[in-house]
Amino acid sequence: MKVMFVCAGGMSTALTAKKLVEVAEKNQVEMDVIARGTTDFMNELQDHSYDIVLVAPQIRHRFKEVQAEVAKHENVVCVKIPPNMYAPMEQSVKKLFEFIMDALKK
Amino acid sequence: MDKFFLFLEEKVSEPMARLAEQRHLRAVRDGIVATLPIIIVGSFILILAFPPLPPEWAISQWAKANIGTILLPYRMTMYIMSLYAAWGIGYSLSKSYKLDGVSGGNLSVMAFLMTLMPKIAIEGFGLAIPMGFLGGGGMFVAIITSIFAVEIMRLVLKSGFKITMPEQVPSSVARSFEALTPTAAVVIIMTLITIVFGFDWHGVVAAGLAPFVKTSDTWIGVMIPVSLITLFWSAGIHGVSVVGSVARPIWTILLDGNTAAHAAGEAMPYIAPEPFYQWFIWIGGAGATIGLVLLLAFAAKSKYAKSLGRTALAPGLFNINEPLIFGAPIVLNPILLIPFIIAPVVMGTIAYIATSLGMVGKVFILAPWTLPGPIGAYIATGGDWRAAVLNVILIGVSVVIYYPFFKMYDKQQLELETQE
Repeated sequence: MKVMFVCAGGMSTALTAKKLVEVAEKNQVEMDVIARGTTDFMNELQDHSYDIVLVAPQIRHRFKEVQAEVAKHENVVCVKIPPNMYAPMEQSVKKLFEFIMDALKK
Repeated sequence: MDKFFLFLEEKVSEPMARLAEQRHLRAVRDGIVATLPIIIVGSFILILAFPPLPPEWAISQWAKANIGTILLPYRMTMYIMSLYAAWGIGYSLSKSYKLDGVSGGNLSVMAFLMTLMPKIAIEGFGLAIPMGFLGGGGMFVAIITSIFAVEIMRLVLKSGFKITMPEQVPSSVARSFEALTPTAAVVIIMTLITIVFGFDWHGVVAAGLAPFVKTSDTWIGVMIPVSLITLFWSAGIHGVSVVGSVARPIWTILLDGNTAAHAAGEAMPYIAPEPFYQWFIWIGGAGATIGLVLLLAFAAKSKYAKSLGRTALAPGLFNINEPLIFGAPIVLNPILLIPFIIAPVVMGTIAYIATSLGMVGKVFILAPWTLPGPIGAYIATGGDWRAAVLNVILIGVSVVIYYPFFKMYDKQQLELETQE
């Protein structure tokens, strides 16, 4: 499963992304997670196919803009990360993992 | 309290965020951000030219003797940053209109250069462009002419007044033909304004801008963006990315003013270019959270606070604090929001006084924002050790301000944990 995080510069999400891979591994889900900034995520989308794009809460005011980019590609889900699931800690990332699995089921 | 936060979210941060997402502002922001590597590398050359070493050392002597040559790479990079910004702004804006980005960038550079009609000829070299206007001082002219050029391009193309090539022609060739009419329009209009009417772009814009530049360097001018940014973060929105898109052009002018003065061997005029905020206020990230992260990592009793502190400590030392902002959370947390808003104000005031009294050197180098505080402060002031000391003192101030609120927070977490 390929997951992309989008935040302002791609730096803070990298931490959460790393934690998410660990949590997914524990749940026997193979997840390929990458973090990008708002300026370069579209190129990444063009080069590789993703299952889901997650928008960090601190740039939720730019969600529509990201969503419009994502909509150009077929079968990619685009969602906002709820703020309480964004910290790179075991507790919150577990919730985030379930949130992602739910979002992909729909 | 909840009502207040709802109000903040709906009535303050959303409209402001939408303003920051406005097409032209976004293009300006992206265009200027694209020049940051050029500004960072360019300003580092100033360290080479003015090494922070005793003046009697051989290397300092050598730098002094060859200063003109050493500064040349700086002159071709940061010194003319508005030229680069013009291209970036034109590119981003035309992209946002789904027009050809390269044409938009070129048109913008052209329009910007056409504000500078060369009047001086140097024998053996031809005409000379006054480079001083291509720097931070020309930033607003670059913004205006870039937006203007792209808007003309859009209007001309929309009106259908363009040369369309048959389909067999390669698209890159077709695009350059399509750009012919907009280019002609921009050249004609700019020639009329600058040459025929003799409009002094740079003089008029500088005069109009002077009060803003002056205000942004006052104490109040520092406190307004600082407080707005923490207010945005209070609702969990990236404050710097919103406020910065409006304030950064001005901060860039201040930085360029200091850098250019330093390169010319003159006294630096400004206290608060962006590095001032970065190294004396946003230590550990917006909200000056370095104090909180240190307390959480080393003084917390509750399990959650301790583990949050350990997770957030390393990123915090490099001024990344999203783990803390969303982990504690600070967002919409009535206890932690108080020091989050107060600490930057107090620290900014101390740093402002210290700088204006000359106790620390003025900032003039743009160092990468992910450097640990004291190192960044040392570099930003061109190697003033007192700036590093001030940074460490301010970290102490942050610890003191956060302490009582950290205690309350830790106690709350501890109670939750014992309940479980």
